[in-house]
Amino acid sequence: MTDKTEITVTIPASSRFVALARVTAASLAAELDFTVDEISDMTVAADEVTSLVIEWAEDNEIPLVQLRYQIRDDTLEMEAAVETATLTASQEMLVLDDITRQILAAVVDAYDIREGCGRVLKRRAAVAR
Amino acid sequence: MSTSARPGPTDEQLFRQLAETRRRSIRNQLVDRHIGFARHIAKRYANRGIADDDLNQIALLALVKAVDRYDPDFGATFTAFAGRTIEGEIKRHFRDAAWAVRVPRSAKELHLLVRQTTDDLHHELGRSPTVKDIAARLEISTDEVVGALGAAAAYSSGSLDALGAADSAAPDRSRYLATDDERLELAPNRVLVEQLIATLPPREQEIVKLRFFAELSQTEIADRVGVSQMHVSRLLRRSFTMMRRAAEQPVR
Repeated sequence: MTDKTEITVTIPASSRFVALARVTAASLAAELDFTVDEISDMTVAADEVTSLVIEWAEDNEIPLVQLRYQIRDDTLEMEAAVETATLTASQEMLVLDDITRQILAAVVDAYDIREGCGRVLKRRAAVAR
Repeated sequence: MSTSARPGPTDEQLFRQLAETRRRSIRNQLVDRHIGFARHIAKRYANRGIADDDLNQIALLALVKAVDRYDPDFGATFTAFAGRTIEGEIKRHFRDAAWAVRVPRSAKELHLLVRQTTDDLHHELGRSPTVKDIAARLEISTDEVVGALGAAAAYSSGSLDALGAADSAAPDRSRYLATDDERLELAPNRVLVEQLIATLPPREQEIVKLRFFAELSQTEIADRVGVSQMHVSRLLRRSFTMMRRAAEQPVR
């Protein structure tokens, strides 16, 4: 599979739906033949960014969060974001705390947190399977 | 790090707030309070073949997991619960790092395991098991079970049966998900042993591994390597002397 496949899921900005973000990430990671440990890392990352963005959206009374997953070759990328149209200058900054930073650094290859949006990327390790 | 001297809410109050609100700021506060404890546990496994940074990362993730899962009504103190979770994760990493027990923990295998457990539980309970039943039995998260169930569509049953047949009749839980078995207890030593073996010449490495990890007899090794049993015996003895000498040097 060399084509990029994109999957988008829109969820209400409520922590009840973080599990959906995790399970979708796990399912796609399994699709890419990630190992169980890699899948577990990816679900931790999905949980972190999704709850970070959901909490921020709740605080700013933004009702929906979009989860975008991209799979290509050996890479899974996930983004949790509010619609750009809902961003205003008066909103508080989305702060990436030190613990979340440490967690993300431990589980994914790259991450990026900006206003109303968190993104993580994980590559499947080249191991014999 | 005295608990009583800590200002603000108690751990228990924080855990109750966390259960109610799922706020990350509370989670982070709890993680922050116990990160020293997690590092302390990680330190016990230092110099055994896994880098300190990696150990600390493993301990941090295990601590986060413990904070997320801890239920103050459960009876155990958080430190006891977290300590067990962190040690379990560290040992699992040692196990996975040791060559002799490196089993690819792929999604396919987890799926197979979940399927087997579903059958077992169905039999025991006389009804279809819930995701929680399966998660409790395998000591994995409900997410992992859901993921494994979802993986079913991706693999044909034919390939799954072949996978099972390739190594054993029934999937053995300890091979994939050991948390407290003997093998796991020994894992840190295994990493060290592996590093010591790596200091030997290639043929000696092979012989030592065949003897102790594949558990072949000296005669079987002799046949396989194409030397006499006496020679195997000599090579083994020499290898142990070399390994002992290497063990006396600090591990890097």
